[in-house]
Amino acid sequence: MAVKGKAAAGGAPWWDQPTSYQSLVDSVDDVGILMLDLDGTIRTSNPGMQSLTGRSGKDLVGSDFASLFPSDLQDIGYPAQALGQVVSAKRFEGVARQAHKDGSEFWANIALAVIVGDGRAVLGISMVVRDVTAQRRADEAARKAGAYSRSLIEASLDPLVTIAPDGTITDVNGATERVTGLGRDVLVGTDFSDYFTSPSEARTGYERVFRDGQVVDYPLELRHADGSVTSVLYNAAVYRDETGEVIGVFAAARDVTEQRLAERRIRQQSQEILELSTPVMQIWEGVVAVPLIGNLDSQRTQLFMERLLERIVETNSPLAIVDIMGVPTIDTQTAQHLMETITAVRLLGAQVILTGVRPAIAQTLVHLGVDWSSITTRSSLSAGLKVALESLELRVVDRETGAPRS
Amino acid sequence: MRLGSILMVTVPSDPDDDTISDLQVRILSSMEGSTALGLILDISTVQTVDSFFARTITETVQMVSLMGGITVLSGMQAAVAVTTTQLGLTLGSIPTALNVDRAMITLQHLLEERRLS
Repeated sequence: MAVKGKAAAGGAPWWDQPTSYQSLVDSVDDVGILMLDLDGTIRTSNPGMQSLTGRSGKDLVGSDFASLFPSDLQDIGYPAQALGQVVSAKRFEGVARQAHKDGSEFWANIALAVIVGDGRAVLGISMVVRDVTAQRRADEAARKAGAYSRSLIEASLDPLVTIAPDGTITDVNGATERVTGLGRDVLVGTDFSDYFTSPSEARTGYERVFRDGQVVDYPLELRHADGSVTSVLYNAAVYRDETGEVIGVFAAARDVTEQRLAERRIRQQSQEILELSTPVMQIWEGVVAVPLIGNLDSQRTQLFMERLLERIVETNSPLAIVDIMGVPTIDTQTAQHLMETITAVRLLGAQVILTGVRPAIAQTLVHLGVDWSSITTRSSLSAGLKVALESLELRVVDRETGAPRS
Repeated sequence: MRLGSILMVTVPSDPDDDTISDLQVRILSSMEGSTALGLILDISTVQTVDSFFARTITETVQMVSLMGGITVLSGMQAAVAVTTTQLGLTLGSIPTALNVDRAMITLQHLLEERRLS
């Protein structure tokens, strides 16, 4: 059922009566509505303005509107500027602090406009004051929260980067700028994979994140603008908007260059130790000797075999003495390795004399059931050398008498 | 190549299966058509060894032995010896020598021993 407005006695509808406007203004108790003279003198106020400022209607009316502003704003001439602008441009809008009677302040959105009478003459100024303190606080809190998150991201020593689904960089932090040697403005918008020694692996990496949701410890090498390379491990995961839609990948890299260098050094050193531990010496023309010290694993055997064969060929020696005095224990594996070496030496056309077979080793070798019958063995290196010299048809003789010495 | 009673054969560097089979036939016919007693198989240029190569060589040595000859394998490269061993190919008990010079000496020793026995 439609409600129709009742026409007042004068013929004009109720909403056109001056008293209706007055009561409308009076009913607004959270927004200040004022009318000012062109010189800024307050002529009317409403309950909204009175509750915002804590001042009574009597107090407000007749005072300068500049008194609504705190003294520091009055000192810099803010109210006068606002007034000047509304007179010249017919409008003014701004956000400024307003003074409360008790000395406190509140933030307000202030809108000024000219009131035009009949014949377009400017009669005065309307002023609407809205309290925006709460909104400003919320904005401020949001800004602070944003700044806090940002400062955390920037404080990270690990290069952080966000990547859009098409592989372009959408954001970076300071550590990323340092590790690539390029500024944020250069990096953002370019392809993520461009900054790695292997772009295809980088691409595979972030594609895997989009597919699986995350990757952990994905190894890549970051390229600096000056050409240097940083080994990194990437941890990356997708991030989503409020609706749960994936909008990109957040990737954090950890610099592992130092660890990589250390690993490489250790590998190199163990390789050097390995080589040091198997010296192949030529002790006579046609005789090389190699003392084996420590346990023989397959890697060492391989190296030992290669070096021994090389030296045999190099020195053209048909005899090789392998001394196993320094080998603490022999198991099936080690025996197998020794047999392989001996076979390889035989294929070359040389012969192995196994020496330094200690009692414990001899027992083990027999118990292991390896057939050593085809191999010349002696208990000591000197006995082995004697065999070698004999087979070369050489003899050690006394210098004085020429008698053979044993 | 024949030197007195010794036949010397150099195996080509990268022999395929056919080449080796062909070589076997030629060696055997040479042994038949001559008074050769010893055979030196020089494999110093051979880079790779497969099981077929190893088997053919072993067989050839046995065949030569049946025909009354003695074979010495000469000049196997170190890398080849390593792979051969790792493949488990021991080439039986064929006499070996570091190079042709030593192979010659070894062969003469072996021929001498046989004459005495």
